Amino acid sequence: VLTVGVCAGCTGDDSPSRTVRESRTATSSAPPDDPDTHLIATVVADEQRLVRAYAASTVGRAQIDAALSVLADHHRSRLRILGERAADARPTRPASSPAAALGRLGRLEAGVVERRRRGALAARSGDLARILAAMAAGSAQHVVVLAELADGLRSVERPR
Amino acid sequence: MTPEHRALQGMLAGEHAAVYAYAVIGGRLAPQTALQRQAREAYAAHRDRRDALVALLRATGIEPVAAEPAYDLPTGVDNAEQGRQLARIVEDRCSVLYATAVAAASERSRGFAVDALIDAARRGLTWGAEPVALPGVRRG
Repeated sequence: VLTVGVCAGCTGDDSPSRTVRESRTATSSAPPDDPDTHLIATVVADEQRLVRAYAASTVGRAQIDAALSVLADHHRSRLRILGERAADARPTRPASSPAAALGRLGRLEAGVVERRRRGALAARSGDLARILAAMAAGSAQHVVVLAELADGLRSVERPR
Repeated sequence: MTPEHRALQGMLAGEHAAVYAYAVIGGRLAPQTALQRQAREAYAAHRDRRDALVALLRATGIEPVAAEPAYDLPTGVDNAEQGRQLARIVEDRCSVLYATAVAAASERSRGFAVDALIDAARRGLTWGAEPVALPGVRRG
């Protein structure tokens, strides 16, 4: 009898306790023109864009804004893992059309899924590939959450 | 055996366990319900991935790891919530195995592991899991 899901390969070495950049600096002599260095820079810029997009997408409904704040924190967390901090992005006034704001975020996240997936396939470093694949998976979850929020909004706003 | 083969075998061991767990979940949930249909779909997805992994390993000359006769489930399935809980655990543990495989995989099998990770992250939500920044990656 074997315990379900015994974590073969889950030996504790899967913890990103160091940032991706620190790992690369410590373990390799990656030159500045290393393809992974360019890849990380592209991902950082993309994640910063997402943080700004969330800050610009408050909808003025406490429950939805709280959910969006959690998703934005995920992008900040990704930036920290990449050795960066999120640029200041102050929340703006609530979007005039909450449904449109949620739809726009959903499309942005769907784009992130595809780009991180491609990045994971292109990465030279296995550790970087793993982090980018996890980002793709996380944004795939964001797409689902945003669609659910939009559905909830529609059901609330539907005329009776 | 290479690190890639070890990681793929780890994935396969996880799929064997997932198939077993979903068979139990599907068998214990009320029949003809949306939840049971969801469990059957998850069972089929993990079974298909298991079969694909077996083929992938055999194609590289590696004998795939076999399923255990039985698995010690981390929770009982006496009601729908326990079924959801077990399904969340299954998807979470599989995610860690998939992410590990992504790191160890060659170009040929990396896409397979990436897509499995994305799929498990989405499916976890359908069982009530909370979204996380990096599914499959344990934080230190």
